[in-house]
Amino acid sequence: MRFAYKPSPHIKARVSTKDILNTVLIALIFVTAWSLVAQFINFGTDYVLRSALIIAVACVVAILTNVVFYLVKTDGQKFSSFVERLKSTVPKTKKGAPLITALILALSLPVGTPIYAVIIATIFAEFFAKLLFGGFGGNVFNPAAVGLVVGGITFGSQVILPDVYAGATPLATISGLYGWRLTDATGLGFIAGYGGFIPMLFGAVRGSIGDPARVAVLIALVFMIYKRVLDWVVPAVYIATVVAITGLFSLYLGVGIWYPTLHVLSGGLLFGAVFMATDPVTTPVNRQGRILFAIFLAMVTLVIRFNSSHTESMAFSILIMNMFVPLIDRKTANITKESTTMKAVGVCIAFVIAISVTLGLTITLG
Amino acid sequence: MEANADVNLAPKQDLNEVFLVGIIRENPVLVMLLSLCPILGVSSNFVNSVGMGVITGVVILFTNIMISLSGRFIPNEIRIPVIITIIATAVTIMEMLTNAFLPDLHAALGIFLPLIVVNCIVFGRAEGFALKNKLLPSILDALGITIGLVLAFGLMGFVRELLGTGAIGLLVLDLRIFPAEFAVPLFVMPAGAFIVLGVIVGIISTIKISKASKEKKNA
Repeated sequence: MRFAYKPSPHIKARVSTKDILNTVLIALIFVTAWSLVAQFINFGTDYVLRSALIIAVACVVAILTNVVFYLVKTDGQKFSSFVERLKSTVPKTKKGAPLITALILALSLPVGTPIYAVIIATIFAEFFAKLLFGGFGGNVFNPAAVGLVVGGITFGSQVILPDVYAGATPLATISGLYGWRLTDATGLGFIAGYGGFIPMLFGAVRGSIGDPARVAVLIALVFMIYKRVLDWVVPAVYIATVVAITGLFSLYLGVGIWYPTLHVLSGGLLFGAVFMATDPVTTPVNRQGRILFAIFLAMVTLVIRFNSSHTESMAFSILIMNMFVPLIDRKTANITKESTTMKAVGVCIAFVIAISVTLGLTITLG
Repeated sequence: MEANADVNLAPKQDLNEVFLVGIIRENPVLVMLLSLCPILGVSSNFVNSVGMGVITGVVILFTNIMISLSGRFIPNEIRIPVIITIIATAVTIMEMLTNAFLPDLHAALGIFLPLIVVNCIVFGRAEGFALKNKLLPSILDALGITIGLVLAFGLMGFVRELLGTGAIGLLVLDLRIFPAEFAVPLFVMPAGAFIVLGVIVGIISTIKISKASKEKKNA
């Protein structure tokens, strides 16, 4: 994490890293529980057991990866016995917050993911994306997004198991069949097939494990904003930009107001906006940077969603934007000196760029 | 003339040392981090990867021999164009030979075969070693470097093909080690090359550092 140096007065933060992590963990457990209950009500026992197994495997593998890593990497410390060595890994593992990564990853994975793929994705998330970069706080890329991308691109063909759930997820249908170029008839028919927006919001949607818990994600967002563990600006600006761009695109397509709503409610967009885009380690430090980050994140998400064969764009866009965080941080380091007008002009320019790039690419390529 | 030339040459080296140093201690890829482009590009398959290593090794041998023989006739000011011309000749010969006798390998290696011309390790050995040394040390140096190259290419190809497909294809034999559904195809993709190379280089430098610190303690 980088610090932005400002002139005094300094205000001592009331929340510590530990508190932040605990609050996020509580929010995630709440979302998980909600999701499992919603799945049980809508799809039955098999589905829930499968989800619970994936979540449990991800958590166990994440903790084990940390423990094994710190067993090997002792930083020259000497131990009299193996038990002592094992004990020394506990505080280091706790500091690394493996459960948060594991839960975010598991909630973003499809229900049909093979257990083997879950294990590999979790190891990649914890070991390659977090521990090799120096543990929590040193990682450049969002660990859960790395795990998700590894799982998605290497096991893409196997993620849906016939015995649990046969058929494409809604996102795969819209993306594969129509490439998001829906008309009023196809789009509204599609939503009606899922019983309308309200069931979609309350969990009657098959997809990734966290998909049925959209309401819970919103509640968790409010809870985390109230606890001041995340900056409300990021999800707000992100979703506003998505709505603005897709709203303009719906005018181009000539479809109704349901179109931007469908965009916000489908895939991991909402979940990623709340739990991945607000990660304090891999996102810009100051607010101006965060606003720019959120706007361009929306741009990348929608460009990938409209124009690529990948159905899930959230993790890719998070990783791509993570690479630009140092640049954004450097360019906005002295932003406190700038006037509010200048900041607003910067945001407006970013917004216009995001809209024109997304729509320009999508319309010319489509 | 002979005696005069000897003064200009590098001090006499232990021939054993010249041969051995390139294999592991100064491994061209894993320690000196040269020749990264081909190893990232073609190491997704064990046989192709070793083939690339061997072809590069033959080019190094050819250029080292030519340069060490003609070294004293090359004016210092134009040594780079001369060396490049000799390397290009060797690469062209090798490319034509591969195309004629190993068409499958030629097709698999593609653009990376002509690109050996700009491979740092070939130029590095020619300019840094063969130009200043006699024929025998230059040949030994080329052989040592070649073994190091083939080891590195083979290791990368082996790890990537094993983890990426679960089997090692040895020309006619398909050696299946574990079932294909447990393979991680990421490792045969370009991203996997970076990850595997990074991990191997990391392990080697960790060993080197711990060895050096132990020697310091003992000394």
